[in-house]
Amino acid sequence: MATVELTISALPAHVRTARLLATAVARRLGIGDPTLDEIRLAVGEACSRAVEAHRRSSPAEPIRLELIDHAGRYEVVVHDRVPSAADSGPAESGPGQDPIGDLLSPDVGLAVIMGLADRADIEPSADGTVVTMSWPTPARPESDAVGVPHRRSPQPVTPDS
Amino acid sequence: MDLKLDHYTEGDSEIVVVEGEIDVYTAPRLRELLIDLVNKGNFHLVVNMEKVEFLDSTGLGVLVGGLKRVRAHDARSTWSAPRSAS
Repeated sequence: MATVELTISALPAHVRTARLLATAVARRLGIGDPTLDEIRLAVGEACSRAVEAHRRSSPAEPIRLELIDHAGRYEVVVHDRVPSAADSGPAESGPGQDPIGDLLSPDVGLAVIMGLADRADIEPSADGTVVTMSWPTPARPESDAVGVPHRRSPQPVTPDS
Repeated sequence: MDLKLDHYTEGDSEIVVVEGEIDVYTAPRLRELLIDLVNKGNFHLVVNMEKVEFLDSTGLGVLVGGLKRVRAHDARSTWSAPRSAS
């Protein structure tokens, strides 16, 4: 098992970074393009949800992602530190803001995650919410696992070389 | 890639050309543009999404918000050339 970890500040700009990294690791694991699209969107939704939750109540706290290469599965875990009781509903409209709320309910993002991930689990708690998503990875040689360096085949040595 | 926005008038419609990624970071710019256009009396909006490479629920919320704004004026909004979700 190999794990890539990423910690981001609760800023919208970093969601794209998380998306790109999660997709890059998935590609490295041999996951095909249609599933890469699902991973990109699901991870983006999970991180967007976490960022919005943090911006409402814990803007200084970081969000942590784990990108895990289990045997046969690619697992993405997004940890936020917003107690579940404080994580409900879209951002409130304040003075000067447009009365038509553009933010869909966070439930829409969670529904997207549940629909896109092969397996998904959302665990709210007093310490924050953990969103776990996973997809199957294609079978590959042991030496191709993330974190295990490739071994080159010995090259024949000729008198001219 | 980042988000590029452009718009022009065609007949009685305002065409909004969107290119790139619409997510939690870039969606506020699209939201501001749609609000600005509606506030200036452009109630018939066509959002050309042919070159949109990524759209998440935040972006969808902005598009729905634009639709709600023009509907408040008994007008319409059209999303043209949407691509499959990615």
